[in-house]
Amino acid sequence: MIPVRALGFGVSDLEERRFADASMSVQFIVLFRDDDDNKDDSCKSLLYHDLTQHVLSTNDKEQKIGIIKGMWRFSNEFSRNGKYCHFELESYSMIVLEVEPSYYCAIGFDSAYSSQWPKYLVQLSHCYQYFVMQQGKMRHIKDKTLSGLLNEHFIPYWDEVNLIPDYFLMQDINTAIDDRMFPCCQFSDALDGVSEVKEWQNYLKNNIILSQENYSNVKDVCIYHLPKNNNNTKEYGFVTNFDPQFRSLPVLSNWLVGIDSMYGTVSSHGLAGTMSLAETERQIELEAEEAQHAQPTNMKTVWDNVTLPISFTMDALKDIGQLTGVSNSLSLFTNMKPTWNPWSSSTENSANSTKNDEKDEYSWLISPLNPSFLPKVYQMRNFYLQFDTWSQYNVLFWKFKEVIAAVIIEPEFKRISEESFLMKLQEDLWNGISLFYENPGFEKRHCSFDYTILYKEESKYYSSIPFWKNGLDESDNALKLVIKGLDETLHFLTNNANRKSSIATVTEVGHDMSLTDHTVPTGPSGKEGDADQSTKNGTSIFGKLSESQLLELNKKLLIILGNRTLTTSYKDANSKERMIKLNNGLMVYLFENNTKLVLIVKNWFIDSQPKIRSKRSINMIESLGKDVTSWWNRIKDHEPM
Amino acid sequence: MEKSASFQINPQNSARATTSVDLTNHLSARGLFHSDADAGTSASIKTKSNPESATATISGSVGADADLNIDLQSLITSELNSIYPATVNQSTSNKSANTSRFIGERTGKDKHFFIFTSAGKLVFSQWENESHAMGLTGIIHTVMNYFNINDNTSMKQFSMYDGDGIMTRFVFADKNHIKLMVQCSNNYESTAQLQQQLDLVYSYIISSVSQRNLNKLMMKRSNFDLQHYLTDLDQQLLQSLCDSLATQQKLTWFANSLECLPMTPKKRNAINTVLSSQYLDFNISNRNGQILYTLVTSLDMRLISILRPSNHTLHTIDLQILFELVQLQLTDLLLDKVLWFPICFPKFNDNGFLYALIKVLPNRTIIMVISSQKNAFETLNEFVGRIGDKLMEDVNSNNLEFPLLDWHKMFPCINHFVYKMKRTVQIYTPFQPTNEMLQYYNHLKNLCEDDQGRTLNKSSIAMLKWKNDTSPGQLSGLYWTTEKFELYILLNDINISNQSILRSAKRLIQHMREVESYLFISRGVTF
Repeated sequence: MIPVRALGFGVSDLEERRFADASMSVQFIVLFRDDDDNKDDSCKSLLYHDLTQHVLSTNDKEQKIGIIKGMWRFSNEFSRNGKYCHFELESYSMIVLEVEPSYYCAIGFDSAYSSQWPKYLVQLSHCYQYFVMQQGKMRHIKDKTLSGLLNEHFIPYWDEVNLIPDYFLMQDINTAIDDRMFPCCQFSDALDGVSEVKEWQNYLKNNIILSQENYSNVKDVCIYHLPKNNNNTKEYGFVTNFDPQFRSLPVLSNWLVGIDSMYGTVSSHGLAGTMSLAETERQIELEAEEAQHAQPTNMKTVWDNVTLPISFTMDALKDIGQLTGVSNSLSLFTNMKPTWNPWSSSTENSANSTKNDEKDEYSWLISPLNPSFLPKVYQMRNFYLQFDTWSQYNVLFWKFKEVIAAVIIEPEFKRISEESFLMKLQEDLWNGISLFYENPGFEKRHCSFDYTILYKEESKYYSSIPFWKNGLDESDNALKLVIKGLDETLHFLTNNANRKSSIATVTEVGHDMSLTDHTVPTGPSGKEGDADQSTKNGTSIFGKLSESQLLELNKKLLIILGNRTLTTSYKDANSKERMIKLNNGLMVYLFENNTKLVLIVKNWFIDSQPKIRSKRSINMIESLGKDVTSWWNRIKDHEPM
Repeated sequence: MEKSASFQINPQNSARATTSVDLTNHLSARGLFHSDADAGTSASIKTKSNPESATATISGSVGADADLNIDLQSLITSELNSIYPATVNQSTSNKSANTSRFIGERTGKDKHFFIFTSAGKLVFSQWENESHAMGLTGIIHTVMNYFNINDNTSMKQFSMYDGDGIMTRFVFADKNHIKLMVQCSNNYESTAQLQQQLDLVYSYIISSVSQRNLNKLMMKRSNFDLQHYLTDLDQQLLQSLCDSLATQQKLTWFANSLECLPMTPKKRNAINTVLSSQYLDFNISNRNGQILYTLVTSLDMRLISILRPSNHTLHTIDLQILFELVQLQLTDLLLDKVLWFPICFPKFNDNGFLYALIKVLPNRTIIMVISSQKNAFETLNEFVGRIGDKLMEDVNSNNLEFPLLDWHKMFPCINHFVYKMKRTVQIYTPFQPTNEMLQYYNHLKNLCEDDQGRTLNKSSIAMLKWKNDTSPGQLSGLYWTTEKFELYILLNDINISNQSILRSAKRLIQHMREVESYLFISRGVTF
């Protein structure tokens, strides 16, 4: 007989562990290589990182890699050409992805999130894609270098994800569909089937891409509209680019959107890859108190990653001071007005906003004009991108209000560092985007339902489902932004643990060359948009939900969406429709054929639209109501929007 | 019908031929035949075959001869066809449902069951090459144990997806001393459904061995060779169960419920009365406690009536196993034999055996009597005989079935449907769905459930429509679930508005409720 006492302990232990793990959704990351020609049948471990701070011996790690590989091979006995795999165990789940031939990535996560595995898969794939974009294909990197690079890329990436509780539940349903899909802005004329090239597009094309000096040197310009708040998804995402052969567009777009959603905004630190999230000291203390046994390993010491020598950083701080036009005195440093601060209270924000708006209308975020003492990544990003073939390109980033432009330039083009070239480029961009702001033409029509349309070939999706963005509702200040190297020195020098003293929240390293002769146009997107948004929020079913309801809805949608993969093998039925109506008011319609996927979410309780009585509705979509039908009739024949 | 040549059964041989193990020294043996009480004394048994066919006198050993078995199977099939023309060859309306156009036939190659002991010894596999199967079992065993030992957790399932998103799924079950795995690449069965099937297969083994025996055997020697402990018949039955789970799943397994023979309440009551009066007579004559359950079913295993203790119901899986056993030996039963075997009902009590007596009554129904006593054969046989006589006397035994014939006219857009009453765990369907239909119903059910079988909501409606953009025609259906019922509808390939589909579904549900007393057994007879 088991003693009651012992049983009691067991249960509470289990619960405690479960509770502790629940906040730590990702448990381990493994990367390994399994060469086809390896004689001793052993896999080469490239990275094994346990995020739960469990200490594992090399033997333990190799065992796990061996078992993962064993299962992979075992399942290939039954089906060839496996691409990815989901393991479900009682206490955790695991995703294994073959990223390159013989190269495998695996992550393990808590079983409480097991049903969310498609989101983990997409995220893992993104993480790998961003790595390749920055460092190149794994198979081209030597093992010794590779392990170091993987360490630097994968570990901070998943550490950040783990800092945010319920990260994957919060993510909207669109992040679970496919790893190549990226969000796009919606324009009302395109929705109506008018697909004419706009004036501002022509301007940018003629003056930047096709201009005599730039031709074939500037490969492409990708324009994104990334507003700070996440209320209106229709105005969020990719706007346009100019080279239809740019195959890495999904990766670049998702990378930008990912930075925006993780840090709340796109800044030069985010683009340079030096910014990261960390728990505030207060939060760490709170957690330590909760855990009773304060572990020193849990403390994120600020000295663990100092990459810049202190003397060097002293110079850096002075230069930043000069750059932003503030005295170079260190005592003034913390008094500088933040150019943006997603963590600050709303009153503070509004007080500063007008000034900031005027000052920071446009600037180079990543350009050779940034001070030369800063790491190279602040001058230009060197990305592996694919047009016709894979190659390295220099990428510059420029910002104007809420528009981000990524300029992709041939590596051989030397004029990139010349101020005159950048000045001219900025002027052209400014003119083009100003034209855009004069009449953005975003889709603003009210609709009482939410939707996502995904065009498979173009990898683009258009959605009205609100996305998750970090830092918007941070009232408890559990997280802060830190910049690798610079922040640590700043803390040391000022002996100030105040979270606002991070460079990330104090200043932007952008270079803004003033174009004094231009006045900033006040676009019509301002107040009208806000008014529109409030009505939209009133009717969209996502806008009305509390956080827990939203999590529940996200879970349900993922189940419905996940089931669609079960019917992929029926090739003869190339157009599949399904509609699900639940008693709690949720109504979901899903349509999929070879070219697109349409998801419509509606609350049938609040369906004020009169039912169509006049004619018999043969099509399933007509059961969703008049507004959906008329919307569908508008968009169904032309693509993409 | 001249299919069977004239041959004779030797009653002494018949018992040995159908089972390889003697009941006296092997508890798990099942399928021991006693010759019919009436005919047992004579040396030859005359079968009561179809009145139209020529009387066939059967001689020789039956069970062991495989060819003969096949011959008999075809005989039975044709006989069943003549008895139940309405159920087997029911003609539908002219409009088709396009199931075969969009859904391919199943070869059975996409699903394999593996069963092995916790020491890793293979018990059963559907893999063609046994030595290869042993290798695969070794890997599965290692993987399961690795997670058990290292991470203190157990493997539930893993799924491998190819570039098109088509998956191969492996579902595991770790029961006491036995581990099971099913590999499945058919893309329509969820983990929950596959786990349910593993449970059925495991229950099947337990029904033959019993948990207590298994524990004893395995505790004594953990590397005990269960494969050779199971009789040939057990192996055969296991094979046939796994094969049908892989190729032609039964509707009752899919819906996890039982099917009843639709009858007029008057006729069902008459049968109930016969059962209860005979039971009372028996108890009065001091044979109390020998009879536990009595079931009457049609030849295709649709329930007609049940007599049971008021405080005990039988679990659906237990009954499904019993029906499966009976159906596999129907060939012999139709030769007027009586089947008497021990059976462990895993969900009722997995430690002990009950004893079942099965016989086909003259009115082409099967009676199954279950007792807890090992030596109650004579008593039970007498009880069955009396019921048979009484039924012939009291109930007009021909045409017991009362089929719903005009539903096609009432619901012209519906091609086929399955209605499940959740309270009694019983289903009604106008005729057995084809494999393709069942596959489609699986997809309908999956729309409202997650992979673990949890429903999205207590009450939901789902519609599914498949089309080919280049050619006309579509495949569409509807699934409706509430706390009280589940309804699966396959629609005809006609253009019809969504409103009328829903209206038809509503009317169908209403109609089902009206004829509930015809279609379902609400309580049975209790004592």
